[in-house]
Amino acid sequence: MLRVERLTVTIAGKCVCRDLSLQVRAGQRWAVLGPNGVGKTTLLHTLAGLRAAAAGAIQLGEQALEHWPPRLLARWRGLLLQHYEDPFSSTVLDTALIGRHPYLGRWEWESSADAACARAALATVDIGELAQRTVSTLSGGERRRLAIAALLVQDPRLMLLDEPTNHLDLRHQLQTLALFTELAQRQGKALVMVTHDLINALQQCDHALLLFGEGETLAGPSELVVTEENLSRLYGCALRRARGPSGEVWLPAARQV
Amino acid sequence: MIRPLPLLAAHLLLALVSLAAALVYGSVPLDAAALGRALIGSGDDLAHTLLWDVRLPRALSAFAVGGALAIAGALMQALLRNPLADPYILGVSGGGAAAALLALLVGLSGLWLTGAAFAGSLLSMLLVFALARGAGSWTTTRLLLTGVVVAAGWGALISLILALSPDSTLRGMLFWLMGDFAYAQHPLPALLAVTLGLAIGMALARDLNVLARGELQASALGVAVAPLHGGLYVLASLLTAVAVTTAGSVGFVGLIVPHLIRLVAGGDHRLLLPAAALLGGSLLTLADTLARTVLAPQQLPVGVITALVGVPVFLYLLNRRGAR
Repeated sequence: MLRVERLTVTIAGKCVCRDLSLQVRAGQRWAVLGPNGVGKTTLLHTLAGLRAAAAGAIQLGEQALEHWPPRLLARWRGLLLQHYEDPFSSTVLDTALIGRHPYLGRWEWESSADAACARAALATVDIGELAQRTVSTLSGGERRRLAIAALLVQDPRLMLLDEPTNHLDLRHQLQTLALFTELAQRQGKALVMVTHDLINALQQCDHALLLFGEGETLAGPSELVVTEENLSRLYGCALRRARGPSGEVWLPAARQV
Repeated sequence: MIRPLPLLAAHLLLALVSLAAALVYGSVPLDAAALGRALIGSGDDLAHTLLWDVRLPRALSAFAVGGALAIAGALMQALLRNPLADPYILGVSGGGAAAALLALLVGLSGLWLTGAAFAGSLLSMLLVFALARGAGSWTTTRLLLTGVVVAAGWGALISLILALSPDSTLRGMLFWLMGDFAYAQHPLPALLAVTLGLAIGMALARDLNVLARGELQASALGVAVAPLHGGLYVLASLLTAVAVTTAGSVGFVGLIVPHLIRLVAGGDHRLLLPAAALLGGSLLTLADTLARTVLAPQQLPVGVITALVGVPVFLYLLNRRGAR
């Protein structure tokens, strides 16, 4: 679904990744891990086609990313941003409905089917009853879930997620991750998620891409890539694998103070 | 979700009422019967002249300018993602005003004055565009800062011209700066511009809805942001240039009218743009009628009326909304 070959991404003279090659197939769930400021978001935006790479090729489906017409691209790949700005007031329902934008013609209005789709997405993320509220009245976690609902309405095959569980309470973190995993398993969506959650998010991912900084990367199946040695080096602090009640978890090897 | 048709119908009705009021009221009131006779071409010469040569062109000019400013304001706010943006924020009107004042200073009038204002507006638009583009990166923050600084430069130049001008021309200059329809006898260019601008705006309306939520979100949803930014800038600037050329710098309409619609009907540009065009036109037509009649035969600058009436109305709506 997404094939990256010898990709080099730089930002402000800093190298995010050098000669990165990887392939994301339908149904796969990738975690992008790395310390703050290493360029995870920049890489995600590059994969989404929002900024140009310094070198290398990104192929989405059958053709190169840069050859996709913007509207068709927006039906194929979606991007959950890290932050959302709402300078103008708008209702929750209207905000979810913008996910339909790439499907509608220039003079076309959202149909009642589109509205039903948006309401269903709002219900999926537990904010169905807030549909008529103004976005500015939502809490941080509710705003986050609204952004996820808009992505569900957009319904892309490749979902690029920038810290999807940010601001969410624990129950909604688990629900959201389970939802994305179900979308991957049932509908063959491919997920690439930037995350700092080494417990719940990592459990849901079957592949990982580690960004060490200075362009050094490591990509592959989780069982090969996500090791004590690699994660400890990645974050610059010793980590140990432990068995939790719901599966493998990662914990600090020692108290820092 | 607000129903679009009743809202637009209400605004259309308001537009017709405002235009009718502009035809009826004046230093010489025309009653409905005289108005009807003049409209169909019979009736006395005075009524005929008053209607066809004075009041109708002026009312239509005011309506077109109000509509153009309201649309330009809505576009500028979406382009800059800043609710405080108005059509004049990027210096288009400043360039037009400086050029018009220079023309008044050297004694030009009529078509020369109009041409100078339009050329000054376009010059300012191109200047800001080129400066903001710089080495190639074109961000809205950079555009905003460039525009605001260029506008400040025009402001200084305008003050200089005012300071150097003889008393005999000062009054005309001040009226020009505050907006004045006394010499607006050719409504056709402005009417064409506002119709065309509205049509283009409507074609872009859903893109604008997405753009108002941020550049990244818009690109992620398939909007080609860079061409849209360029198009919006040119469209809003041209509408502003036409408005300024027709009537000087009428303030307030372009800032407040889009917000009035947003308060009542939400921020969907497919509704916002046509409703703002109608409301902006109506508001300015009514304001101009007041400006002609309140102290008749003396005329007041229309920009003063729009602000005096608009400020309390806007504050009232804002508070009512906040109390809900």
